Amino acid sequence: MPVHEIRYRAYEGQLTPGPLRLLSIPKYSLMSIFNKWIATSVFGVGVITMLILSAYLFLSNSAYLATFPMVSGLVENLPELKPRALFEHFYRVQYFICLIPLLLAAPKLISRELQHNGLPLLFSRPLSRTGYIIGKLATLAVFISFLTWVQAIVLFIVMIAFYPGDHEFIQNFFSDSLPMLVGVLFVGGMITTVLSLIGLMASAFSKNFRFCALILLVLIVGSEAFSGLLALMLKHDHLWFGVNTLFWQLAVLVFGTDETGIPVPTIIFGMTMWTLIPIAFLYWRLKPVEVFKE
Amino acid sequence: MFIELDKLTVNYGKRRVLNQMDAQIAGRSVGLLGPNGAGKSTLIKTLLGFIKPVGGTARVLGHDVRSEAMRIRQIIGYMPEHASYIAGLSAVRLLRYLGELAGLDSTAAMERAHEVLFYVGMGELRYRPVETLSLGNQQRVKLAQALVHGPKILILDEPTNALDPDGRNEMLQLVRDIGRISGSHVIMCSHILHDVEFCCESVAVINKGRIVLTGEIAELRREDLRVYDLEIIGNSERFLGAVASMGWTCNANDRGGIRIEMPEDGDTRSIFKLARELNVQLRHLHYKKDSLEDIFVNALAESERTAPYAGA
Repeated sequence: MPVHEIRYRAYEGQLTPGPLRLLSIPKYSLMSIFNKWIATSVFGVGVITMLILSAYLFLSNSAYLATFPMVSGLVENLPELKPRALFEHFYRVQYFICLIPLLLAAPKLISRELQHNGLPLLFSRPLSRTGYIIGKLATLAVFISFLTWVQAIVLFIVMIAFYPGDHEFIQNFFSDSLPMLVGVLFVGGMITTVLSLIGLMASAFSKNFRFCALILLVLIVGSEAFSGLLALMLKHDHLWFGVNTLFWQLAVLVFGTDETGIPVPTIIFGMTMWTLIPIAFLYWRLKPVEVFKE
Repeated sequence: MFIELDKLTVNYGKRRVLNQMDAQIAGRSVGLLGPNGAGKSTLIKTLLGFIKPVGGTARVLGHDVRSEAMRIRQIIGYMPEHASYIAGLSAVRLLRYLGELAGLDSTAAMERAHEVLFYVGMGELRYRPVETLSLGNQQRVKLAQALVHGPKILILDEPTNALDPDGRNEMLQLVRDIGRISGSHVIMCSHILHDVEFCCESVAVINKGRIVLTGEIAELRREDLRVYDLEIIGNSERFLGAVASMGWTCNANDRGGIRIEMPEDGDTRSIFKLARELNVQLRHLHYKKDSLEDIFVNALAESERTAPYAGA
């Protein structure tokens, strides 16, 4: 005879507000991503650039360390980086570093839910398609933000702390430092948004996450190679729509470090294209009624 | 009534799937019956707000499916027909995730996930990834996820799919139990008439995009009737005429048989007496009660006669 019989009991507790529920999507997605040690370690590798640049700033600006002949000799051999150039270089390196964790994390994000027809379970809750996409986007955005603009802000603070001169950074705050900070946030924000959207689009392509990873690689590397080839063959600068080129040129444009290699409207068009196409694809692909067949 | 349909029309592309469906569905547990392609799953998906109707309205507990889909999903628990789960998540984590999405806070969602998994008999297996479970247990997890947020309406699409006989009986017991004690309404969509008969008090029959019959099974079954299936040799037309003149309902079926429905106080011996008088030989006589199968078959036949399909 059972000593304890479990009966069905209706839930009568309080409900959380709608927007807060969306947080459970990135929460569970991030839990799944960081369940694997490789993702955590790759994520850790992502801070190396910031540490190196912070060390560079410290070494090249510390009056105390300059008294040591070994350090001063080392510093003399380092190339001089102006603040804006430093951030441009930082983003160029971080973009490539972002790709590794993106390739590890993004492909499973939606494909795992398509694999066994999990979407009807999610959409039978009070969750809209927009809410779902925002939730998933937030997962990748958290991930990529940490590798891009969050580190760039830390670097900015380090720069203020170690920059030589008579508080030049603070004196020129509104004319120079603040626009640079806005530029840092803008470039970082664009990289975060566009890479997250491309990652999500690739993840929604198929139920097979390996195929999704391949698609992601093709989108990033293939677009670069194809557009470059096309631009060179047709001798037309407007054809550069590879993701890497666009980010690089955006950083050059925002930080004003050089003349942009491709026309500014092409950069704007390219960024818009890489934002709108994934959004349209995600809305088309993520339907609760389909049993995905491939 | 908890579901009201008013000229509900739904298209898949150019194909009309629900055709001006009118119905008021009431009862604690309702079986949704219909042949393949009748529109059962489409109706469910429309009620959940997955598909937008092109005409008419549907209301679930007073909420309109067009404008209040989110409110409706809050009060509905849906168990899909096909295998549905998220790979890599254990049963308890899947339920906790879905519970949180439905508005339960983290602690309550965890508590409910354990409780509901125990309730459906998955207590020992709740930490195993769902993809490693047998089909039967995956089916139980699907039922549990539909219950985790304590819905007011539970929609079960073919809940006994892929279950062995024991598993099927257990699932049916659970569904019946939920319908009777939980205070929730249960809509069970199934091809298996026995399952519906076992679990449901009411039934709604769908054919070619229309609801052709609704009502309580006990009432529809006409328990006050005695039904006889006969096979005769002789002048069947004369025999049918004589049966009709006695005030009994009789129909000849396609296979040459005859069905007679007489009141509860009718006497079987009257049939033998009639046969002797008309010099008709009875080769087969089978007494039965009006079953859900008969109700279903009659409803479909009636709908074919009265409203031939007018799909686009």
